[in-house]
Amino acid sequence: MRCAPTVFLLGACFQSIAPDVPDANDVAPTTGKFATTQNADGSFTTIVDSSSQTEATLGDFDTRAAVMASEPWDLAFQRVEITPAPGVEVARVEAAFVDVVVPPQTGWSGNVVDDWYDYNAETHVLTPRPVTYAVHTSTLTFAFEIERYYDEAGNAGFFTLHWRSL
Amino acid sequence: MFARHPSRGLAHSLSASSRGGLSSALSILCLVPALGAADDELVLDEEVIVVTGTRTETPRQASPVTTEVIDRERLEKSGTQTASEALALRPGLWVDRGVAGTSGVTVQGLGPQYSLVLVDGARQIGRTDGYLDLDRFATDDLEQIEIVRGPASVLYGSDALGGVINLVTRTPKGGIAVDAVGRVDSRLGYEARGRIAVGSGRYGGSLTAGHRTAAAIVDPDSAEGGTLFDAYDDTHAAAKGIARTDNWRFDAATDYSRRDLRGVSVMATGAVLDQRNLVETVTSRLMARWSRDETAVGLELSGNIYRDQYVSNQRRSDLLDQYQLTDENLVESRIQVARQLAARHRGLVGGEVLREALDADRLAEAGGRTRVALFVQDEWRVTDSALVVPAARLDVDTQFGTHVTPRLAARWQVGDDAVVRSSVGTGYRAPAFKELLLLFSNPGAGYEVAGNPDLEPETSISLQVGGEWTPTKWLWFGVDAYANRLREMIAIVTRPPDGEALMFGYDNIGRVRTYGGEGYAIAAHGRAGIELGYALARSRDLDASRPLEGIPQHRVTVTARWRDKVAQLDAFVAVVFTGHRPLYLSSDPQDATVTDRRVEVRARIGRRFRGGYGGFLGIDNALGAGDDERDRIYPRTVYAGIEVHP
Repeated sequence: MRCAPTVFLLGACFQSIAPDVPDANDVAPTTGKFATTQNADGSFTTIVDSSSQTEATLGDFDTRAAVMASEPWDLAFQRVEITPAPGVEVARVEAAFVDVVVPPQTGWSGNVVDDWYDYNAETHVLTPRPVTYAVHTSTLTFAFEIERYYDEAGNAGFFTLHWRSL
Repeated sequence: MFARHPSRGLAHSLSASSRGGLSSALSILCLVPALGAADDELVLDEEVIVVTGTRTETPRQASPVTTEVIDRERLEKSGTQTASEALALRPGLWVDRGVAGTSGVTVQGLGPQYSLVLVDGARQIGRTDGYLDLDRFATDDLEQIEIVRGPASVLYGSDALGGVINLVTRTPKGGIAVDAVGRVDSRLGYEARGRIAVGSGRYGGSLTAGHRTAAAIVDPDSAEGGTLFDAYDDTHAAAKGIARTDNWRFDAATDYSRRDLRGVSVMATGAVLDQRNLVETVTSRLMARWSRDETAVGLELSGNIYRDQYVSNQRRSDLLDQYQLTDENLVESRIQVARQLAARHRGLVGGEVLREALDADRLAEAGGRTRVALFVQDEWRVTDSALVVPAARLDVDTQFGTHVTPRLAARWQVGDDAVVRSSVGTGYRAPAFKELLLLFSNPGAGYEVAGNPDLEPETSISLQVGGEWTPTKWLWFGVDAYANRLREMIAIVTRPPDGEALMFGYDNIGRVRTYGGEGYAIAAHGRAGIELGYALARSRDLDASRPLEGIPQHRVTVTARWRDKVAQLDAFVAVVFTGHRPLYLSSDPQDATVTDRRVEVRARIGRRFRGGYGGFLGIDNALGAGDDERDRIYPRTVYAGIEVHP
């Protein structure tokens, strides 16, 4: 309850509904910035936290972990953008993930990947396009598809990547 | 405002020149005729006094400015609980809900931000995205609602471009009056309200209180329990006192309202948000009036406090949790002098000082500004049948500087049974604090919005022409046409990017044109009364080359009332047709999604018993109009209740 003076010396007391304790039902949306699990078919599923507006998550797919900028990294994730590290190349393949078993012959570049989604102007939701990206680093060549951009709680900026080595 | 208090010279002079008797008042524009002298018949002969169009008390029919009235009788018999429900039955007033679930009124094709809402002439505050929630205002303490369409900034200043909605509260009369109503409905809602008023020759007072609540309406297709309509829990209380002497009258009023909304929002991303919005307002008004002979002086002081709290609690996460607090307040003072200057001139001069402030979480800083205004008006009776009313207003504001608003209105009495009115005027809307000071970042969507402290007021110029004709004592016709042109409209623009985020801001670049008209035919005979109304509203965004979003081009209303004095029965039926509305939901600005046509039916029947008791039964949205996605309105609701008027 908060009271304030009003005009004509009348007082008004307003109830406060500001939350004063954290909601016990709230849980962390992911277990880390770069959480990877291996699937039964040998592929991997990685959830990348790219929700920060100011700081990219740097992913090293060799160690399957988020790393510091001073360490070797492959892809940087920040909001909707995926940026290859210097020397790393990415090629977009217009094919389903299961059909990409060898690296493509053409289309490699070091450009930012920002064409992976369709935008719904009514709902403002980003939906991944049915394409696959191949990545070539100095130590690893792999393919990935983006399954989701939202975590289980519906928060934006949480890539679910399905990937495997080529 | 000098509501409800005669500046007798003016009222009498106008009445004398207007047609007396049956055609002189026509409160019928409020749809259903108030009962006249013939106690068991519905007639058109009540003399309704209005004040909004000229700031002086004037018989409605004699006013140089077309004024529509929804009177107490209609508010009661139609079963409307809030001002928004009452206004929605008028063809030319489009009531819809904004993104925050608040209801606002569009007048003459101009959205809710262009309509000024008053209570007893005092400006109300608390807009969310331009919508001033009309569900905040219960009808139980209203004597009548006055609607002036077209710009009225010449008398009321900012925001009065599309029109003015003035909610006139009930004034205690002589003796003791008690009334109470209890109601339940099929939405598991209930309402209880009561009023007691005591009055003598010189003093009077009243207390009003009410509470209403209803459960949320859950989307049957939502696994998470998303709601189509929030649960509401509304409480209001008001006190009013008056004192009179031979020349003086004093009014003091204060009221409190509390509106508590709770709902569940399921976002397309899968996020589920438990939301609550608590809005509380406190308003107070002091008025003193002195009148003698041909002079009336009025002093007013009003204060308005608005607090809006919004809590959003995301399930399974806290990233989208929010608590937003908005505090807004307004203090307004006014002095006004009306005086008969010569045989054919009556002057009105007044001054206002207004101080408003707003603090909200998303503003770069708290906003505050002061405005001083001077207005002057001459009611010049050129001939016995012609009245010309030039008026002008000067506003000086600490934010946007000086603004001048002129208007010229005229009224011609054509024979005994017809009136023609016309006016040319301008209006303006001061930039909202949000448009000036907003600083909001949405990292989830990757954009930022920043206000523009250099915004100028939006301006409009308008032409209004109308007439009314009463060929017989039981038949009335009215027609109005209008054209409005808005300039310097405040629109969202793209700014140079700051880093990688998209930047949006505000600028005075928009232009809009609206035109249209309304027509009414009203008949009251014996125990029955019927009104037919049609409104055409065409509005166009001249820069985007498309109609304005969400505004129907056609509306038709048919309302009927039947009253049997002997059986003590009173029945009311309203049918409201609303045409297609364009919605722009895709990234292509020319790609319009069109809503379906809508037909709403509302009916109520009531019966009085001995001892002042009564019962009623009603249904709202009897045909189940609307759809959950594009055109949300409350579903079919059946209600019943009892009322006590000893």
